[in-house]
Amino acid sequence: MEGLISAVFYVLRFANDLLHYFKETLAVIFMASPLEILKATWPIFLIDVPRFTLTAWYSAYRHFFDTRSKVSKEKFRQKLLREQPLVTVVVPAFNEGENLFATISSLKAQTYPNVEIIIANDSSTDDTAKICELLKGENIRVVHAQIRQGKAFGHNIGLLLSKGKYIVVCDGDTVFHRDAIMEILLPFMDPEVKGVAGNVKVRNPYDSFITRMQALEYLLSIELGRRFSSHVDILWIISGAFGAFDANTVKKIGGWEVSPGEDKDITTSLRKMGFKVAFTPDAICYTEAPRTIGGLVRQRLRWSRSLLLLGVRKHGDLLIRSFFWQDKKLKNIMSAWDIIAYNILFGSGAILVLILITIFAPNLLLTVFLIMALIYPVVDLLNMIVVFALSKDKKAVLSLLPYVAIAWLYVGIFLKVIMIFAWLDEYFFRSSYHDPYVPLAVRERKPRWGEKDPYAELQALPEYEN
Amino acid sequence: MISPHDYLGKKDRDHMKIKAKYLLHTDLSPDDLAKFSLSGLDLLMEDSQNGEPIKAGIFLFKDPPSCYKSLSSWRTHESTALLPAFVAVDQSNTLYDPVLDSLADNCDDLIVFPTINIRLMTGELNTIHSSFHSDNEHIKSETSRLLFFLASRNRPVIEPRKCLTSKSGWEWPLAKALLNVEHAGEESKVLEVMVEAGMLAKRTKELVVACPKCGNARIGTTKVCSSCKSSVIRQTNIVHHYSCGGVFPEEEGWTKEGLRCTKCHRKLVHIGVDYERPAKVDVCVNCGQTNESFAYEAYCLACEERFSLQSAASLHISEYSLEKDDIEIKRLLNGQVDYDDETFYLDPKAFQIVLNAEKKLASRNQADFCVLKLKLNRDAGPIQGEALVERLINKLRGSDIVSRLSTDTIATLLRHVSIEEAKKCLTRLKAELVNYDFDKILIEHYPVIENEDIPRILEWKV
Repeated sequence: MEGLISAVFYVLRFANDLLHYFKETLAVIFMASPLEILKATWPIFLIDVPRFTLTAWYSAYRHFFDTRSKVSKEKFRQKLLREQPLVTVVVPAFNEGENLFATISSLKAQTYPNVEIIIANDSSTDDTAKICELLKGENIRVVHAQIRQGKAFGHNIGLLLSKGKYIVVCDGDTVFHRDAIMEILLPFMDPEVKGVAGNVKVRNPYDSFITRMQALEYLLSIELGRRFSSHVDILWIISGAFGAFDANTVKKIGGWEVSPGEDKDITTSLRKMGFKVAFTPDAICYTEAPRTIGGLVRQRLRWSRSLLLLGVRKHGDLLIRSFFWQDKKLKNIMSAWDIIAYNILFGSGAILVLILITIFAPNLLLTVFLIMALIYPVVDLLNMIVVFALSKDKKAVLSLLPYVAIAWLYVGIFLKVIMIFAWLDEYFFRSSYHDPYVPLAVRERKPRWGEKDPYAELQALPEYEN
Repeated sequence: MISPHDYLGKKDRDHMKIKAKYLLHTDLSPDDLAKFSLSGLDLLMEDSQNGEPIKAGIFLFKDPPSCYKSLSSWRTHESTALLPAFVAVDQSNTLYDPVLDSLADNCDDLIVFPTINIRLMTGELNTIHSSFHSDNEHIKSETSRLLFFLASRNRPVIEPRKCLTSKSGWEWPLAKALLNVEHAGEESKVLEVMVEAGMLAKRTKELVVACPKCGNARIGTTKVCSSCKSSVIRQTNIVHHYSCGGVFPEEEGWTKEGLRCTKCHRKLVHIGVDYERPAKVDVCVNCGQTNESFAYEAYCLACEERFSLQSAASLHISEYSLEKDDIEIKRLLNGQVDYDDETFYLDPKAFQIVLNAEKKLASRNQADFCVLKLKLNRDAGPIQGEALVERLINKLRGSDIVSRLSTDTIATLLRHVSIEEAKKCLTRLKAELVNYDFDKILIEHYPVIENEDIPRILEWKV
């Protein structure tokens, strides 16, 4: 008994010494006390770390232990192969002469048997039109627009001409895994699901350092992040690079909006109608990522502006209604606020805090950087382990592991700075309305949300003959 | 009756014209003769030829048997066998004899080989024609007529021409006239037979689409809907409304108040202002399918069979020319090689050219040949060689060729002769050959085996 008591005291004393040693070490390394460190970095520990780790673990749990959904999927797969409902793939092409052949070839090689392809050539200036004519065939139709109308027109005219039960949209440079169409149809086994997002990967990860970082970002945010969002039904975007929809539902919505971020817009519209949106990690496609910093910045500015444009301006009612609990779909509220809260508020806040620390407590800046440099790579590494376990292309995951150490600089700081700049630009200057993503002729004539329709008076006239 | 203008073509006027005359054969009285428009022609009467070069023959007879006799003589004489002959019997323009040419408006348009070339060509044609085994005497006579006509012209090409009444949509006017076919396009069957026999060569000029059932090339095409096979298809404009992104066929947007967007139901102001018509699509009136493009289907005007263009048959429309598959003979006939027109003696260079030509023709004609090489003793001298050459020329056939390769070597090309026959030939010439002093006599036999031009050489002892 005495021996036991002395053993317990010995352990407690050792733990106290260890804690004391730890505190002194921290004070020496970080030049701050643990309390000061916690004050400066609590969002990392209380928001970021739980957000990334818990979501990854939950996704892993659902992947390995959720056998019921796997059985249902297999039954639905057999049903699809038996009934073979027609799938229309709409490929909007603007100056995609270099990539279109590969895109269509990968679609023609799909394991799903009943696919029709509609290529919408949006008045391309290169050889796209000639390549379209060469590709025309039994199940491949081509529409040529004589005047450039934008990507949304390509999607909408594909929807108009489609005969399929499901409609799949993609980019002109997207290349598909041979089971991509088959896999993206499986979530439709749930009759409430009307939109499914595919797993977009980077086609050119080894072109430059920027493309490697984007490949890593896609793995963490799409492969892992959207898995979780889909599991808890708060997925907020079906990427325009690869997505599938129930054709009738999209026709009821009225198709795609003419603006940057039309993919986010249609996803939000689906959610507003009460339908579900899913993500399937096995429907894999590859898309070209910008090779240079300039290209990347332009792309992310457009994406971030459209977040504000559509998330706040067009679909702001989704945010406001939640205050009065009018919208009974809690998940839609969570989805809308997740983007606004985490991306806009928290993201901006993080950068703002860094700026404030730099100004008012520069002695803490190094401490915060060291904390971030220690914590984020560990979290990302743990997430990459989960991605490695879940992903089919394990070789690609392994090749990107060395970049995990600096991924936090790219995602946590570089992209957040671009986001803040985009939001400020959009809020004060409404730059999305000048984005060349939408052709000039179209964007000049499209009324902006919140503005008066210039032709409203005309609508009031009893008769107007064109 | 056709005019040579129809088939000789108007593009090639750079032809060789020789200053020759028209030889007139006639039994008509001067008064009857005056009814023919012969003024302007450089005429020569039959009995006053005297070796003058002849361009063509004009046969004007009242009595058909006399005309035929005169024509036969014309055709069998080597100097005139391949020359054009213009015939009118009983003061009409009716063509009388099958082996005749049509009456020309302007005889100067006809290009004629120089007479010195005719002998070789005649031999060649006889060889070709004799190997044409056909039970149909009519075809044999028609084909010979065509061959002679082609051989006597500097443009031996039977070109196709579009024809509305022909099954294939094409006709060969020259062959049609000379082969006496009833319906347009039938001459192509005879031409194909001549190609198979090796008389003519053909080259595809056009590939036409034809009905897979009856082979008729007179077909029509139509657009059909891929789902209901209706050909009633209307093209419609697609409207893109900028404001709401609505995309719809224009005709669906027209209302009493004007054009309205089918998505947001707003009135549209003006094209280019708030909407655009960037694309057109085809709409099937029957089933309403909206499709960017429909399939094209064909239908046969003869048998009314409907088929897709992918399953259509193909017809090769060819032009036919005289079978001269060796360039050397062409060069020979164009006068690039000199040779004496009174004997079949060729200089060594020409002999080698003809020998190469014969090698190529051996497999085609399925007829072997031999070359006798008579090597005189060096001490024999050049005079013996010349004497031997003359002897051989007199003794050998007209189709054989003699050449003095060197001072002491004389070669003789014996056509259509096997090695046994060559030995027999030499046996027959033994009486001539014993008077000469030979070093050796070689028989080079070129058999009928493709891709083999190495002769089998046998030495013959006198």
